Amino acid sequence: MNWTFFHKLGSPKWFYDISSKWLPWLQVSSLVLILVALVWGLAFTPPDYLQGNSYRIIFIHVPASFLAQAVYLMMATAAAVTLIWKIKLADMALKVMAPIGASFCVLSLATGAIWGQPTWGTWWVWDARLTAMLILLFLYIGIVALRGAIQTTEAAAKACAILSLVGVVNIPIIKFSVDWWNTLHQGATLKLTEKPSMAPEMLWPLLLSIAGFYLFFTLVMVLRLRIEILSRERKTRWVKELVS
Amino acid sequence: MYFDSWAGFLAMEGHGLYVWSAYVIAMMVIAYNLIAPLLAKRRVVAEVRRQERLIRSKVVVRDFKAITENSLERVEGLEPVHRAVERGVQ
Repeated sequence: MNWTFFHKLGSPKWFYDISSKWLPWLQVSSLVLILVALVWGLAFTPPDYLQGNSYRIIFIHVPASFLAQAVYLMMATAAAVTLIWKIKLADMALKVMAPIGASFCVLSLATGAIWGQPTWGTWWVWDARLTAMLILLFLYIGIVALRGAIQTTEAAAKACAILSLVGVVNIPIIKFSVDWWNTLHQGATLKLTEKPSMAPEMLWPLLLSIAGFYLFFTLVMVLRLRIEILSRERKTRWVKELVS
Repeated sequence: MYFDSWAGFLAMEGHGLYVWSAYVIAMMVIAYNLIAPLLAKRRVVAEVRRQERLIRSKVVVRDFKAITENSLERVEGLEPVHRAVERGVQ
């Protein structure tokens, strides 16, 4: 197998060049998928027999929550790569992913609170799942703040990588919180090992929405990473020629 | 289509406010993620151009200094012109 692509992945300029070809595909696919999934979920699925129409929030709440956790796992991976191999691009990815993950975490918490009011009769409760998710948001904010507080790029990279790795312990807590502490939040709807506990006419728009949100994350992450590359490589000839 | 009318679609049988506010917040998060990189790009491009201008203007000052160094500094009470220019630039 040809492994040269693996070395090229560490080159900011190579990534900047290759990623420009991905952008139109990501733009079209993510926006079309999200649009189709949300219109389908809002207008064409039947209401839930127990929750009525409020369950339609699921088509945003579940993809946002999945992403909030998946982005954190990606950040922890980038953190490990930064610490072990000192690849600059991994630290840039870690930096640009933090605000995106935080925004999806806010969306997950906000839609969860809105869904909780008609379903549980309360906006917020100190349930294990909700509390662990709030801690995830604080971790995201902490990583963004830590980056802003340290002047030198290398020291900030190391500190943020360590904080990201320490915080990853929260992810399994979020995942298993609904099994360990049986409180308000319902169990998982989608499981890899079992058949989903959801009717297919509701399941399909949900799966489309999850795919669309993942593609959207990839799109905005690549957009931010390209700008971060320009910023950090601003002393190089290729960036100066590109900009002027 | 599950709903029979636009009014029914908006009302969601009493859950309209919850459902629609959740979707509005989702649109706001999507918009933030699309607008933030655009603003950041403008900032970075301006920064790279400013840095380029600065380097070019420093080269001009150095040339000017080389010409005036020997002649002007001998005149009493006169601040060397290149130092004044440097202050203005930085």
